[in-house]
Amino acid sequence: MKNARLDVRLAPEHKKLIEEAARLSGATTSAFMQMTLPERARAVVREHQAVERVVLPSATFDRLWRELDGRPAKVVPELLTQLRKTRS
Amino acid sequence: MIPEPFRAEPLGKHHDRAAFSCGVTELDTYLQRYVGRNQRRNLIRRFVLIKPDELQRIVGCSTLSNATAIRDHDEDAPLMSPYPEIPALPIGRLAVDRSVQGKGWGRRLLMHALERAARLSKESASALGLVDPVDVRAATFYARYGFRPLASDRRMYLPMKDIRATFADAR
Repeated sequence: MKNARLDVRLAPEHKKLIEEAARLSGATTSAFMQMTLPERARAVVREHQAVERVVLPSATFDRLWRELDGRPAKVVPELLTQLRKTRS
Repeated sequence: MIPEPFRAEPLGKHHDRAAFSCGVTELDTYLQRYVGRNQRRNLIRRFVLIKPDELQRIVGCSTLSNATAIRDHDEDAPLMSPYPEIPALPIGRLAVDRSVQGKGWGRRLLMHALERAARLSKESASALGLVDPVDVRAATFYARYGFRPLASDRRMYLPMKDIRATFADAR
């Protein structure tokens, strides 16, 4: 149910910019803001969690788990190079 | 780990947070508004890079925190791991002041954070090192250290066992 309203004042050039971005994504200005604002708000809220919850699709999680469980530890060549550079 | 003329230490009251500017408003605001209060509450810990001749001056910073990677309940596929969660250590909000950018201080800060993460993970379980690059440039930066994309979002990771193995190997 979309019955809440949010009125904001913004600079004319920002309004134009938003309208253009909406047009480019093939959405109405309203739909564009309904989609992007909650996205951005969620990201900000997420970034302010003391203990972050990173929800992964089961396929990603399982692939990660196989990597953690299924093979011995190995040296990361890129990291080793940068580490030597830092220590020298 | 971080050779002079800079050194890293926990953020304290004497550091001048207002003077720091990395060019990303989000990161500057975070340092100015949220960190002090939340650090006193033991909710976050921020490390800063300072010049020994200007003890109050912050030239870089990063945060180590805790996270948990959670398996989404989007499918009925059976669980392969003992838990539906993996403990992780995110290295967050790594930033270098504009006055010293492009001189390798980001690299030194990251190495310092990774070294601490590797050490901490020996006593408090954590299987993943995580970073969350703000843009493509940041993602390219982390890729140079071997960080790989998590696929499902913009975060990148390295297995903690590999980070430990690399630091052990370089000793």
